[in-house]
Amino acid sequence: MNIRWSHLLFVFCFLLSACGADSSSGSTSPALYIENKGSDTIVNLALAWAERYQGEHAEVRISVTGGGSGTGLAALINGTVDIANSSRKIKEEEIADAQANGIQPVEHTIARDAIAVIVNPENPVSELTLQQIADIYSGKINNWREVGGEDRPIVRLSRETNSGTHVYFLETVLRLGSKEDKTLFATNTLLLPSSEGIIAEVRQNPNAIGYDGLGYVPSDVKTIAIAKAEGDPFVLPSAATVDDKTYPIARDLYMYTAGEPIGAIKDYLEWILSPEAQNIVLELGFVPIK
Amino acid sequence: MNHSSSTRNLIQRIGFGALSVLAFVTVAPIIGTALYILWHGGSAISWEFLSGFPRDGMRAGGILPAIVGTFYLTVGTAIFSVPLGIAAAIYLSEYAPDNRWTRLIRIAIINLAGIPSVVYGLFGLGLFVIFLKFGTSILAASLTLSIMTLPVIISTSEEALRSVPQAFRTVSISVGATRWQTIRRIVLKEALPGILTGVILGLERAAGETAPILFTGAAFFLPQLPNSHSTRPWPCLITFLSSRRKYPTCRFKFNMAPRWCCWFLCWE
Amino acid sequence: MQKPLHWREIIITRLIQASGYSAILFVAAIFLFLMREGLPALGEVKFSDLLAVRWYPIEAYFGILPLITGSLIITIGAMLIAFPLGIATAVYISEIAPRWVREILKPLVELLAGLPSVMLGFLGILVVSPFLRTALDLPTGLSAFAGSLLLGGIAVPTIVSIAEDALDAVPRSYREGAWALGATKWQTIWRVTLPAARSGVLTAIMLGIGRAIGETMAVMMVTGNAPVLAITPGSLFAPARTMTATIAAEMGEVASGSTHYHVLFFIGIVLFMISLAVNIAASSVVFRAKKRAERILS
Repeated sequence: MNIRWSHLLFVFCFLLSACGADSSSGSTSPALYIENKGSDTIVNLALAWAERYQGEHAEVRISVTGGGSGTGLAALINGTVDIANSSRKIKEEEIADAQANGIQPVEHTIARDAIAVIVNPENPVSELTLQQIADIYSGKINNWREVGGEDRPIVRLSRETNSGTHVYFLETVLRLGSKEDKTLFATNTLLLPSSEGIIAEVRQNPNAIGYDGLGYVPSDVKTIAIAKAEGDPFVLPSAATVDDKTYPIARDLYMYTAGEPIGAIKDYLEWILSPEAQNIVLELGFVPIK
Repeated sequence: MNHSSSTRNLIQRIGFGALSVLAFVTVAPIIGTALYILWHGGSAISWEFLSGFPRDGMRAGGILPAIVGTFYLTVGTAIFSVPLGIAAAIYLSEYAPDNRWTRLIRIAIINLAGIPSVVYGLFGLGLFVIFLKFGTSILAASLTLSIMTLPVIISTSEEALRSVPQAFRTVSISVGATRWQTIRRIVLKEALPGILTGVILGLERAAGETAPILFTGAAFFLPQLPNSHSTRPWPCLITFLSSRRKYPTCRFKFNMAPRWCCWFLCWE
Repeated sequence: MQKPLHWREIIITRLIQASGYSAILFVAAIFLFLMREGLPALGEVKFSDLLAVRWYPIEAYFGILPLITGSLIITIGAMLIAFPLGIATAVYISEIAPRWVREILKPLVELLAGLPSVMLGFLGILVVSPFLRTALDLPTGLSAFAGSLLLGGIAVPTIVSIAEDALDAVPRSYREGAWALGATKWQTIWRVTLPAARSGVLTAIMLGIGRAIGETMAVMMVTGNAPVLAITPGSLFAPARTMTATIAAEMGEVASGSTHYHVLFFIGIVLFMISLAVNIAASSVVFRAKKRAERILS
């Protein structure tokens, strides 16, 4: 019996070391490891970049994790990531927290993004003003009839509160950019943990309204044209309308590093701003920065 | 009498019918679920899918890193929980006196089994990730999962040990073996199949859990197999599924299917 | 190797004993760490604010009442579904079904227990919630009821296996006695076997509740996670947010040491206490009836 147990243990150890040996012999110099975490809006983009960059630089490894902008920034504050992705600007408190831990966050603008407001294709509503969207999400408007649609209840969909998109939407749409405004999402707003959840629900539910980064919106849901105010033209989100600033809900996307980047991280961030990397931005439905 | 007995028979028939229907209502969705998964996920399984690395931002390619991540996590969990669990089971079945402390141990085990998995995640975050500074790593996640699987391993192993007839022990002791020799050479050997069942049940639960590793060890994307075993986060199959992003193709959504097939094999 | 070394025997015995006591240690450690990280919440947030009805942590609204009621209503709904189905299936399997049906049904129920809840969650999003919306004419299918359905499914295997054990443990002589008195099989089940097994059945329900209230991923995916106070029966068909989903969704976001972090651990304490109460209640029944329930606890 004794022998069998030790055999079992031996096999375990062997497997473990075999796998370890396999992976380390696979690449030439595995020393450069970049840990990249944060915004779910950016995660696809960051993955595409990481993949392309590693294709060209075999010595670098980049691990990309989602979880939300707050998650990435929290990890940066706790010192557990090299680069935090964020779809919103870092907050004052977060900078203070980071400094308390001896970390100075440095901001890098990496791309731009438009937030699309989406509904089910069956929904006849295709244009809304910012004010109407704000009233829908704050709970003042509860039926599609009130904005020119059918007599249906409105089901509000939002990302979870740790999403940078959520915070940006709250500040830019619900509060219309006003700092004093303390409007909140209606309590019965559905907080879905993923972009996919929002799109799946909008796809099958004619009552639903949702929002998401333009790069994530598939063709089988309807994107709403938005006017800044009553009387302004209704504009659909696109790279062009973001660039000429006619589409009102667009924002910069950021990467944050702990202190000025050095070494492999610096090279990576410089590469991200290159035309090659910015071309990927366009391919994924985001807006490149010039 | 005749009349009443036919009424009784009728009631019995209705009752049995109702029970059968309810049992069917319970089982039908299970079959439906299994078929649905096989139908949608089965077509996605291929050698390339199982052995490849993700490409194009995980829209294509394979799930090898996730399988490897899950494998390490399961092995790591086994290393901590199997010896401890079996030792605890030996204590309870062979040594423990029937007193207040032993009852307390049993209550503790039952409570360990009942603690919500997300609370284990919080505990792992508080103790391993932050207090002991392991960071989010396979080590922290394995330790968290180990504690979670302990009750399963302990109670199944204990039952297996108890089912070994007392006579085996008596004979062994009477020919001069010590207590530990008896346990190691006789009792453990007899109970091994039962213990292995417990270990498999426990590890299977560990491999399928998501909540406890959300904060303690899951990475999302790693294009190569990681090489520093215990300090970097690892992608786990299960977090592929729960990760908060969309998959443009339906294919990835059902990437649990291969795994599910493995479990099915485990039962056979 | 053959010769027993005295010191070795003692060390091994001590190690085994220590392993046995480790279970107590772990429960204590879990409790301790939850307290350590969760109790500061009481200092940072007024207790009355914790019991408020608004949960919006990024603006420092920390009312956990909607989360507690959300967990409760979904669990109650799950039990309404799982209790009759689970007990009926257990009775059917242990008392009525012919042998071959039994051989098929038992592994099937265990199969359900082995499905990871994340996968059930996906089915919930893709199948259950759209179906509920059209069938019940709800504004959205992502509701407490969808969560209850999935949780019911998750709790059923627990209930079935423990209740079945309890029914099996009823001595055959009880049934034979009833039959000898002229009772039908049905009357025997209803009036003799089930009442005799009631403590085991009660345990099954308690543990089912424990299983349901602690479930995280599936619930997070299908209930819509809207932190609405759920106190009317109608809330069952509206979106709700549970304690577990809140922890899972938000824990990754917070900086350790912040108020939000402490409040999430505080919610963890609440969950821990509930599971402790449920399990101690269940286990006290188990000990009296000396059932094999522990094995199926997982």
